[in-house]
Amino acid sequence: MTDFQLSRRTFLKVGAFAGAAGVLASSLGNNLKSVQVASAAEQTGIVEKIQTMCRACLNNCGAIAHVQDGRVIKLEGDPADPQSNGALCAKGLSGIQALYNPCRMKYPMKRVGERGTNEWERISWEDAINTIADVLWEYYQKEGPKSLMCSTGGGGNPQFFSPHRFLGVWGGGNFFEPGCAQCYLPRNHTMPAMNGTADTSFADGTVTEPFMADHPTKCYVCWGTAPSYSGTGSIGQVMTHARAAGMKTVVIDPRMTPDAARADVWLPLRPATDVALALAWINYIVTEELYNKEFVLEWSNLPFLVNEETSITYRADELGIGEKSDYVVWDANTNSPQPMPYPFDPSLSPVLDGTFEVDGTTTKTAFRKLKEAVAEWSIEKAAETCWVEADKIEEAIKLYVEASPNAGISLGVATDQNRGAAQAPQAITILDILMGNIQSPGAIVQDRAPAVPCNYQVLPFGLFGPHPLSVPEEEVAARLGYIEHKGLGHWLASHIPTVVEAVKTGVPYRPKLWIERSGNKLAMVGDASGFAEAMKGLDFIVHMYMYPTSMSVEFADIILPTAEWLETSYAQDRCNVYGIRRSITQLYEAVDECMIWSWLAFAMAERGHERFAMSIDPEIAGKRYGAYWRNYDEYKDFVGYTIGHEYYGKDDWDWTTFDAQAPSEFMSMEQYQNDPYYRYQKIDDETGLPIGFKTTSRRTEAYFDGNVLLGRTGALDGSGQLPPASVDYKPLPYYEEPGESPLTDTEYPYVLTQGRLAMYHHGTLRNVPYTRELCPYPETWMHPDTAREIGVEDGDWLWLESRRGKTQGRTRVTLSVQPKVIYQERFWNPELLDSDDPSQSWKAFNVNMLTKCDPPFNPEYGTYTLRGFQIKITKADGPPPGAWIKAEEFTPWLPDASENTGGGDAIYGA
Amino acid sequence: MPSMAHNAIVVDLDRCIGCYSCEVACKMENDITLGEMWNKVVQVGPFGDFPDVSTYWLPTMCQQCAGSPCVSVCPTGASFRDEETNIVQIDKSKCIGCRYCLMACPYGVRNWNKTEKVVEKCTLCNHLTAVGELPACVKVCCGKARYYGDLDDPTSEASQAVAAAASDAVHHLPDVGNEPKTAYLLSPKYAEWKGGEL
Repeated sequence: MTDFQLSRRTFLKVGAFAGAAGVLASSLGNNLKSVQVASAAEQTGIVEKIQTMCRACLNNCGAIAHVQDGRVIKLEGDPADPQSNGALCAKGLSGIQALYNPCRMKYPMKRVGERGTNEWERISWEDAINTIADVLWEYYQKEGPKSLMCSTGGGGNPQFFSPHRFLGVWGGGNFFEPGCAQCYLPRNHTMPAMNGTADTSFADGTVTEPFMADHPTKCYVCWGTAPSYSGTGSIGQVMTHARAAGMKTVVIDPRMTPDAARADVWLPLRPATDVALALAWINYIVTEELYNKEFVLEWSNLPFLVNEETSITYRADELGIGEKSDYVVWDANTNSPQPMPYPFDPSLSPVLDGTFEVDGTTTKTAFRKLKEAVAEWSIEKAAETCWVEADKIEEAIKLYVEASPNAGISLGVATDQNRGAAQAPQAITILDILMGNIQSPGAIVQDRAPAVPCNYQVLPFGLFGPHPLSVPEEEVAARLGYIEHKGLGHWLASHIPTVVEAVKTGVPYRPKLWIERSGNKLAMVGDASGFAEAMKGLDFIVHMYMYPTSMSVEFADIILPTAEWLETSYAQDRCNVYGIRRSITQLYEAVDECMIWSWLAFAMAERGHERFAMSIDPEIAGKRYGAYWRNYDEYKDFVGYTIGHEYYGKDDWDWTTFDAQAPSEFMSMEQYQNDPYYRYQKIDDETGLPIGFKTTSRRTEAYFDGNVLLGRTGALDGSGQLPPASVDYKPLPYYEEPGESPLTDTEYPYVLTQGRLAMYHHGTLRNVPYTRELCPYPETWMHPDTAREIGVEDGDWLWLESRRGKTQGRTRVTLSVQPKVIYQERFWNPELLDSDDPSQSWKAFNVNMLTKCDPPFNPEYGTYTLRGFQIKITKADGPPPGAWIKAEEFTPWLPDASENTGGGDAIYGA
Repeated sequence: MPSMAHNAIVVDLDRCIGCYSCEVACKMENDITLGEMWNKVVQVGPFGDFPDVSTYWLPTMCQQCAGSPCVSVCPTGASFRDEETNIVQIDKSKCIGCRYCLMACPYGVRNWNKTEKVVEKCTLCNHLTAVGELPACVKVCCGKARYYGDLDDPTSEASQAVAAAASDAVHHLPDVGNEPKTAYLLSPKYAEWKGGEL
């Protein structure tokens, strides 16, 4: 290894050379010479078509890779995929330009200059793993498990639960992800906890009812979700089929999206007022008595009496009238409280809506509590609060009500990004319960969801119950921000603002090490500047990704190259079909991230870490979790085994078995569609009673007292042992104005929202020529009235400024948003990484310079505010210096095809 | 003997979800230079009185006009009508770069290839259709909004899509005597057709 260094500019002129110090070039050509070809592909000219699966977003559409002499030369959609039917979107098609991007991270690298100076030296995988393991082992012995943080993100081909798994074996520490409390966790936890069935995220793969051939859904409310953008090839497509078949749609979104443009009713509400609107829907349905009385009486907890003092539904033993297992209703026949055995005693006549005297105290039914909680939310009040027309709200509710119980609401990411993150899914779940839209044909809530979000296969030990490698309880309780925001526990996560504070102040303890797998944290996290300042104080930082980002240049001490989706092997369900992602090629020394965590596990075991030694022992790990893998073939065999065991009833599958038959149906489509309908009514052979719902009461729990118990104990059924949060979590949803509100803010008059576009997923693809030219810079959408007010015209460059900082955008005057509402999507500029000021890569065009990472937080999940806060706008002289705007400027990123080397797996194994 | 076929693409704008997949698929398939598109998707609108606004996405490409001015003005025969398929094509070897055709095309869907100094445009992926496949943009379309076929053959998918549409939903780009064949389907319930007001 040579040790000379070149200045950045000199380096760029020199171009390619091997095994020396250099910069992570993102604007010009290769940063290092192509690796020596492990096995030169035979030049046959024959084109082979290989079925695989995209991972440019969470939809995982089936793809066909055309491969010639080892190189991917073309991508198409796979007609065999029952969800995408041969479609492939701009993101998926870009797979080739992402794979062969000349600015891939190619080799493990070690920083040789100061952080932020972008000077690196190539090292071997062996050196990299040993260097990291030495640091980990030193800190583990010196400071214990709290010293380590691991993080990930949803973009860029993650093995999502790999960091959790590693941290669990390590024995503590903190996991965080900028999505999580700000993306999907609040819905993924709250909704199934209440409806005992599933969440309603369309983009995350939970919802498949619209894919049924007979289009049973008669009305679909897309609330803060844009299927055309967030799952273009699959969920975007199926919306076109369903609308053509007559499905009514309501779209609730501050911006005009393709799905809003085709909706029967579009409600362009003020950002972050969703809960107010939902409360008005509930109030209307309750007041007008439009709800499904039979379902609500027999299959929800709304008839149960509530203990005013504790906010918890009474059990019969508390009132001395029966067993602890029974809840209590007010029986109209006897005019007295009576125990309600599961599932329902038809001799009782429960009163749904009432206030009674029980044992000398006033007691209300849960239904009455709900009614009172929403009573102030008239349609008119919601119209005024949410800036939408009252008659349109009413029209939307009627469409939904008339189609119920063959209807439903998908709640998207929008409500995960402000203080009402838990209250929104609470309110939406109440609506679907009131209307009986649970497990009925056409309902969006169906019992088809996998046990793990997005059906990831690599799992943390102990996810399904106690395991020898479960994290010690005291270390779980020590997760930063967890006691206050206990909903984070569902994803084993910590609270980012508390993490930032701990790193800064050392209170309650100071994490020192950070292993991060994702793209550009600084483009994703709230208040990026504050985050960056804190994280620079860490002792040791590792970044693993497919290409360098601001994260690598600003923070990393070691960078590790990971694999694009065309280089990885995996499995994913597509309705009744299990599909396969086949590694088509492996370039340079890149590896699937799961191998990095595995190799580190072996290295830690060698150093004497007992829990890691257990994690590489197949007997202790068990087959469902699998012991860590020495090489990719072992990992692939684990995936093959898991799919066989979980879906095909086979215990002897390996990768070869799976590969030989995939994709294939693991059940018939008829069974896939019909088995889950009314599953709660099916009789359990053991008890002779209906199966019911997966909740504490086995009924749907529109009155979410489990939420109260979660805050007080850490468990929905009250069985947890954690200390309580400082405030009680509420059993019923409520609306609070955003921390910064256009109703009161005169200095920053405009309310900002974000939202996905068709060509990007999370922070990815800004360095792919064909997607970047579609959207070379972030557009600032504003209503013509707003443009007049600010004094700007279409195409003018802008400064956007909040109380946290400022960044740029470019005016698009459009009727896609209403006056006072501004829309701008996340962005970062890979081309500025090797500029004179690399920090401009994440500052120039980044709405997260503006977003919040400070209170008010959502109590349950600690959610901070990414949408629905205040900014001001002024005209700028021009675009940020050095930012590429014109299509030709992206030429250096055009693909540089290279050979299949076998990746890092070919030269290293544990 | 010249063919009577009129192969073209029909786009169902009711189903188009503005995802740009056709644009990228076209560029990938035909290796098109950055900054140029043979198939460009433009958003029309939103127009109307907020919040009662409409919008649609309009993919524009060679309209395969029956009376193709691009062919008439070409001095070298580089722009020509294929005798077998009746499709308007460009023989780049004959193109002298005079760019008369760029001016003659009413829709601006011809591209100037700066590197090769020739004019290019949508070929309807004739290299794929020749071997029985569909054009790349039709194959990948995420809204299943694109149909390819012979508009003179009532059994073709393109003809059937037009036939299935209500008469007030079938549109063409403005005809200035060139008879564009490419049909766009857009229902009045979704948006008023603004084809001529790009």
